[in-house]
Amino acid sequence: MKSRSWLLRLLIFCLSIFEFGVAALAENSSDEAPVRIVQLIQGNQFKRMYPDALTGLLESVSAQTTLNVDPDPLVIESFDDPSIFKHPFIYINYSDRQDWQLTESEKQALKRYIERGGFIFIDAGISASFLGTQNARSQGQSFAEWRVRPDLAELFKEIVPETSFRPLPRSHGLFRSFHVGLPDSSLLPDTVREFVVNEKWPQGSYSSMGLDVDGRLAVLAMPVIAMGWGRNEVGKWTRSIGFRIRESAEGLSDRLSEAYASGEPFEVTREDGRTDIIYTQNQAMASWVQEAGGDWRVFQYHYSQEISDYAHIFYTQLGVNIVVYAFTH
Amino acid sequence: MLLGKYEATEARNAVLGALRDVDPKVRFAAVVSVLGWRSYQSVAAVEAVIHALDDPEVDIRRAVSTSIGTLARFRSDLLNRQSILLNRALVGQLPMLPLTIQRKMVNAFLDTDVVVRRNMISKYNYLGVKVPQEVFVRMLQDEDLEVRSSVLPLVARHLEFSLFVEKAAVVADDESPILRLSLIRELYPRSALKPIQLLQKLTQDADPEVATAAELQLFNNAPDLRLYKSLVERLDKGSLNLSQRTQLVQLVERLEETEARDGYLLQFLEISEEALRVVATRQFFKFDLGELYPETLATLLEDPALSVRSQVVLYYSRNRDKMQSLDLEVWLESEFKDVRMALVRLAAGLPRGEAAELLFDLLLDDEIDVRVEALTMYSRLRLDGFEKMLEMTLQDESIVIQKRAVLNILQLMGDLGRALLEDYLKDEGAVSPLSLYIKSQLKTP
Repeated sequence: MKSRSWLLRLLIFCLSIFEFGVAALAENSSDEAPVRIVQLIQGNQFKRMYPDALTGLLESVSAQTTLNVDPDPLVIESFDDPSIFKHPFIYINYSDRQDWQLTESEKQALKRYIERGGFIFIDAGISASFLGTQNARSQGQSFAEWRVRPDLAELFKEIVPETSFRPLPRSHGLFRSFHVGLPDSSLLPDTVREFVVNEKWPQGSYSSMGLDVDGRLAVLAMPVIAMGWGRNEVGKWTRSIGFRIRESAEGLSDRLSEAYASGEPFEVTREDGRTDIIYTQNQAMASWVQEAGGDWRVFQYHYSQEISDYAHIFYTQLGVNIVVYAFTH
Repeated sequence: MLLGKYEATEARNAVLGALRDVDPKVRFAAVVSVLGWRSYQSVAAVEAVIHALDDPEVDIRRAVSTSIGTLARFRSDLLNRQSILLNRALVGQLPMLPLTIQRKMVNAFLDTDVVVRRNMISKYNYLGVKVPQEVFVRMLQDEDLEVRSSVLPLVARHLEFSLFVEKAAVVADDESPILRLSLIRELYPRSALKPIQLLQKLTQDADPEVATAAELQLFNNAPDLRLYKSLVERLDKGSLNLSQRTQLVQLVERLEETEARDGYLLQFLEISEEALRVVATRQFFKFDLGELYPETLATLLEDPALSVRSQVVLYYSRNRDKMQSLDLEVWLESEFKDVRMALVRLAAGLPRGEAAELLFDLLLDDEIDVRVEALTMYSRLRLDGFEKMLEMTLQDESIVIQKRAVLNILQLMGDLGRALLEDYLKDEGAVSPLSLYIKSQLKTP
């Protein structure tokens, strides 16, 4: 993993000619004025998802890069809050908004925001259907799928009809805007390492859907990554994260094709647009998958301190890459 | 992998059987499957997984040791459930782990793989296994700092102190200053035996932070004025970190030379660092120096930091018998509202005459909050003429005071108070803000 700190000062200079205009320029006119991220939380702030996450990420951005970010996000309740036009980056966890039926004024503001160069990251804007709608499950697991939630797709189709969400290619600059490649995976078990490096997060990429406006990435949606950011007051990661790994063995594919699953099957969209079918048992955990290419593989769940630490490091570097990318493009 | 997805007994038994397969890949797949289960059907099933702690494959040992705490909990839950069914008296009295498992657990503490050792040591408290002292002692020299750091407090807890001092001596030569600092922390006075020699060695440490920490602990074990003096000199030069500065101020209590102790304390009370003044103020009261140094007491009350002033207030709230010697004028004239508010509360501990006089003064305070509290205290203490005062206060220029008077009248004057308020309504009409408030309060049961 390499860190491109040498690029950052130059890229931050580019921020001053960012389309965002006078307000953004004014805010960055002083070397000491930190950049502030906007976080949208509708309703009770104390019930927001992963309360310590965004602050934790912004502290990492400050510590790892030369980007001067305020660790305290500016919280707004709706997109028609005029303060959004002073800040070029909005973070929102999908579940921090109960209702994605925006008012007309919100839609207008959002359209203006995007067209004037604003960037929106919708965390958990992708959630595989088998995870259900309850936050405990849909926010507790991050499953790689390449389809945004239907209500988001519909909303942005109405706001910017000329474009639509498309999968971000693995080679997209966002995945190497600051950190390049994956963290050191030597402590991971062989089977886990192999899957993570080759299939799960190749070259440090992640399942992502982006909405381009005027040739620029304006809206980004991903399966939830905030669970990988939060640290407690003594600097320890606040959550334990496990890995869901697709595994196979000789003859297993044939057996799986005939196996009985007590839960219903679900379709998930792959990176190439084809579909996998996920089979679940009664606890709605993904048990095995019928892949588009015809193979069947089983899901194994791996937990260890090393895996959890690895996931946290990766999710944080991914978050840092998103912030740096947004402020430099 | 497939069978692991089913809860049927046959499927589960097959997966458990695969834990003993000759192929390490099969065993690993079985372990991962079993560790994904959310419940176990029997104690034997849990123990079958724990047995894999000595598997030749490192990934298997890592996986099992990662979950060893959870497995131990599953086991005890199952045993408790069985005890409830068999005999309620047995609940909580869990049978020992089978000897073979105990042996495997102990061996896992010395596993060749560092991840396994880290896992075992971090979960030790949940395992219900007694690890021989020599294992912990050996781990003090583990190649991994995390293991050494985690095991040091365990060694300190499990070994008799003199043995701990002897065995932990190797840590004084540890390459990590973090560990050497941890060792110093563990050498606090807890026995007739003083680890003087070891601490003296550590005072010669190449790392100044370690050396200073050792000197502080050495003083803690064997208070000596000369050593304290040299530490204070270093404090003055700014060469102690915050934790050491705080510790130094706390340790003043260990000085047996009273005059020197008081002198240092008075010196610390003038330090610019608020946190240290707070600690020093606590010590000042711990030795009851308020009576001996009334001028210092007055200075503390005028300290710019609320946290320092709060220490004074707290002390007299807890020791009202000491109030007789207080110069209440200093409190009354304080520029800080919190001090005058505190005085209102402290008035309750004074003789009635003094309390009345003091509260009269406080009723004229510039701050409305102080006046409100003074009025309430005067009424609650039922000092002479409190009813008349409450009645008069209904005419106060402040609505806040008026409202508090209404509440006090209702709470403290019973039917007479209600009648008084009803008369007020008749005389003043029902449209003023106070009248509306009185009406709402009269309606309240």
